[in-house]
Amino acid sequence: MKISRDQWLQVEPLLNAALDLPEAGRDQWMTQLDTDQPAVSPLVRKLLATHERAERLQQLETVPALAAPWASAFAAGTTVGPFRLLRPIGRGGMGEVWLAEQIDGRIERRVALKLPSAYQLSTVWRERFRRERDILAKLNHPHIAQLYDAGVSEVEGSRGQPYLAMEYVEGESLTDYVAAQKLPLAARLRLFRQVLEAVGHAHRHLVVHRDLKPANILIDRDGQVKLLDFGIAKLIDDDEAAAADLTRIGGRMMTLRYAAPEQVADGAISTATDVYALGVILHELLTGLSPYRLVRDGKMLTDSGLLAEQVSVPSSLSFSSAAAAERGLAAPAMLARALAGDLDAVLLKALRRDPAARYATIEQFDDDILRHLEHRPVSARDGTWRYLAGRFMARHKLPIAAATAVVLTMLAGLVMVEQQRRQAVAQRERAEKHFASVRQLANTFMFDVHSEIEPLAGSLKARQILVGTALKYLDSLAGEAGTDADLALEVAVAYRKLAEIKGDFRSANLGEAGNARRNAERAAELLDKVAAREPANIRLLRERRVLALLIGRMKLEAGDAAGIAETERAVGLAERIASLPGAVLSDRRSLGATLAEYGGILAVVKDDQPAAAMQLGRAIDILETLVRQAPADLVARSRLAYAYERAAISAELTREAAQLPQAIVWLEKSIAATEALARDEPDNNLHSQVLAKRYNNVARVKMKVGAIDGPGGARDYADRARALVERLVRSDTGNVGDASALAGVLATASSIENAAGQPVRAAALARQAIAADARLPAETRSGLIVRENLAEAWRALGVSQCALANRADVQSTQRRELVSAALALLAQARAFKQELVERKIDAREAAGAMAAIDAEMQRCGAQQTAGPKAAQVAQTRR
Amino acid sequence: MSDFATAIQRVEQASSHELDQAFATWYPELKKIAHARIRRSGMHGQVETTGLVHDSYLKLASGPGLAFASRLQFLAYASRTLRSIVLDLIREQRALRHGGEFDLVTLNTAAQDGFADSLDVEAVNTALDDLARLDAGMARLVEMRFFGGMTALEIADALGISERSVQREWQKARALLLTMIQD
Repeated sequence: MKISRDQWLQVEPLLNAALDLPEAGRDQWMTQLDTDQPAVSPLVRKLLATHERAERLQQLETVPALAAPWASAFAAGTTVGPFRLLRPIGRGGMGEVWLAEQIDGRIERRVALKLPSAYQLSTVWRERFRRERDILAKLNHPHIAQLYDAGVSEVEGSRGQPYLAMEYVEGESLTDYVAAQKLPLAARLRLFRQVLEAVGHAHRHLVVHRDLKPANILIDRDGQVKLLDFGIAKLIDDDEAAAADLTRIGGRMMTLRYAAPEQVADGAISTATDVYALGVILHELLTGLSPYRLVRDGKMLTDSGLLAEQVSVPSSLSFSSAAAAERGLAAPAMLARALAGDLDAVLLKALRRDPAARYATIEQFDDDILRHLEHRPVSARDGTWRYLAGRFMARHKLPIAAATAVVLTMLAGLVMVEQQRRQAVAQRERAEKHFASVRQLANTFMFDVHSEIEPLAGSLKARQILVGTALKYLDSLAGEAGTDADLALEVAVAYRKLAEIKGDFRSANLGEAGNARRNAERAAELLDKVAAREPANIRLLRERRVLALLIGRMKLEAGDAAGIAETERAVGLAERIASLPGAVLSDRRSLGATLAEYGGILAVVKDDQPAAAMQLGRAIDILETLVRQAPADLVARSRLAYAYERAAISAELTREAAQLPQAIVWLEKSIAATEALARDEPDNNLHSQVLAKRYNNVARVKMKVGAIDGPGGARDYADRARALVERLVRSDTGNVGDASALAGVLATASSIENAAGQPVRAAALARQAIAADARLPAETRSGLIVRENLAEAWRALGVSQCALANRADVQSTQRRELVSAALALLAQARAFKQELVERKIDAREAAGAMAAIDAEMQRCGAQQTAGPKAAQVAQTRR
Repeated sequence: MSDFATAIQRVEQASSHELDQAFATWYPELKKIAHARIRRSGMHGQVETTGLVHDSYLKLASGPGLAFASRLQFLAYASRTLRSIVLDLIREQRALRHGGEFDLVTLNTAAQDGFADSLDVEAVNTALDDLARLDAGMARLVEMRFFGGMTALEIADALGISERSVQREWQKARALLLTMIQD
């Protein structure tokens, strides 16, 4: 409408007054104006309404974005090739796009028909057109708009006109869709993953899109992503000279707002260019804002502006609630919280200025988004798995339920990666990548996470899940990998660890001896197979030594004397390893440790004390030297403590009274070393576990030499052993090793009380030992060491009952009952020793014990007939 | 007279023959820059005039013997020039098309990619001339903000007045201009 200068001069002060008022107050003010100045009030009213509308629509607020004019060179109804044009649906970089229908009768469908304009049909443009056709023909993906047909029209009226017939996608652009649907962040991320899938597919076919932006990403009626417009896409393996022209045109045709810095600076194009564009798109999708301040401020981006901008941490941007709501996003505070951390890191990684610092592949980008959706740590953050495990360990006192939850979450990640791998198995490149990532993840569980939680009390079940799952995946990989020695080794280690968790008596275990042994033997088989091809592979030999020891130990525990030969084999392996050129200091340490174990077995199982003394002497020499050289080597120190203990046991088993003081010396050395280890590593329960056993052993030897009372006496050590074991059992209730140690410790304490002439105390302790044994899992209870402990308890109880029967104040009926109970217990203990003799395990010691039990039974039986007096006589005679 | 009107008058008075001459000389060059931008943005695209101002400034400031008293002075010139360039481009392109259709020549005036509202550029141009007859300062303000891409704050800084004064003047100018465009 026309407004005269006079009119304006009249209304301007009124408009000023109205604009000074808050919007809510203007209605009333206008009503007043209608009465006071009816001549000008309609114009004021009109200006005010226009002003309010302009505010709302932000009219003229931004500089004009000028669209090039367009008039179609075609008319509806025109036939181009086998298609009839229906209506124009847009303009692209190459010309017009029409909705068209196929009319050649082959198939009834509607297509988006791309028609390069006549003036664009120069040689260069023809070439571009041909390329787009070739590129699209390579790509066949559910999230990429499909190419149906391409050609040059030979129909009258459009002769010579090239065309591309594409899948016609009815839908909205990505940005409009998420805003209209008010999609929450997670749904946006899932949608974005489809985009990544499509771009990843293109990259695998050596196609870089180069012009990714929301307008080129449509969401169809089914909510599925369709990627459009490969008009300026580039083939990665393009011959540079041939592509020079195209690159010059195409390279500068990108939309600045989504262009990568290197694309602007020197036109360098790589898959990293697309990663950057995707980063900008994701940034806008998640924050509703551009990563560029210039764009956020409503200014237009220039080349130099883009290159000068520093991308801020997305969650630190100031979000306005109105803008967020308009884009269907959550309230600003919530949004910032949701973005902080993972998503910040993911976006910043995709938006790195240096192309090499971005995600190297679309798959890695996608993987991080998946990780975020599954609440797993993203790779873009500093946090690696190792870091996570470290963080997890930083809170040692974490309740074990929480520890298990962490482990389970990590495993869920592994399952997911593996699923992806299976799905991707058809695509070789991707399959290899997933193969590597499954392997890496499984190994992280096995080595990093497992070793971090291993010393933690109560971690057994978590460890079993952890290693068991890792193994499952590694094993399936091993099936695919064939003859890869490293992979075979990893699988073998997994089997071995599982065996240890299930039933290695030396440490905390679940008491499934049969499973444990099968796992260990499977590992050995695997290794032997690859070692046949690589006999000097030191890593294979090292693992094989560990396995030989473990299998030996497990066989012996199951009462199989073949365990001795297996341990001897471990010594041979250790010696071979130490002699190889690749051997390191720890291989020497392993040799010492293996000798110590073998010596111990010779002493205890084979009862060959001279041979044992020789092996143990070698072990102690080697280990003492190592510890002198490296006092901080905790492993060497613990192996040395072990060797001392075995030497003591060997001395004890000579059954020469003169050797017992030497045994005590060895044991006290062993205990001092172990106590130091427990002090240096207070969180490592293994030290406490062996310390308890060593207290128990020294208590037994002190009892034999009659040093019962006082500090450092048998009873003192037995008390210490018991207190320690009880603490361990309390802290880790599922640990069978600790629970069976309790039975052993109680049995020793009972024997000591018998020796001290305290049958009431002895009987109480023996019953506790028997009760502790009864609580053990059935499979554990069949183990020899456990049965030995029980036999010891029976015997101690039997002896205590005899002693009680011998009391003067006992009635004869009661005495008879005590004696018959005692004889039954002693007979049970004797039967066990006899079994050992028959199975040739520890036979000499067992035979000696049988003789001692016989004597005890005899005394008791004599007591039954003769009463206390006769028993006293019998005892004196002894 | 308002703060704004006083300040803008000062700028207008400072116009120098030398600068007028320079802009006239550089006009073809600036138009080339604009053409290049249109090509770059392709047929999807839009001419981003802020970028155009920026590119022009680099070109002009590096030219021989040209000195601007202030950035404002430059922007005042540049926004006026830009208005001409934008109009010229539109007319040229129309002439290229046989039919010279009108409807697709639009200015997207809503924020960024939201194609909420479009105004015809010729209509804005015509209304701007009408506005200049009512209040020359206001018309200059529209040129600076709309064609020159300056923010209210930049204009306030350049003129040495409060942002609020600029904002108020802008509200009035815009309401007036849009009212005149409406029938």
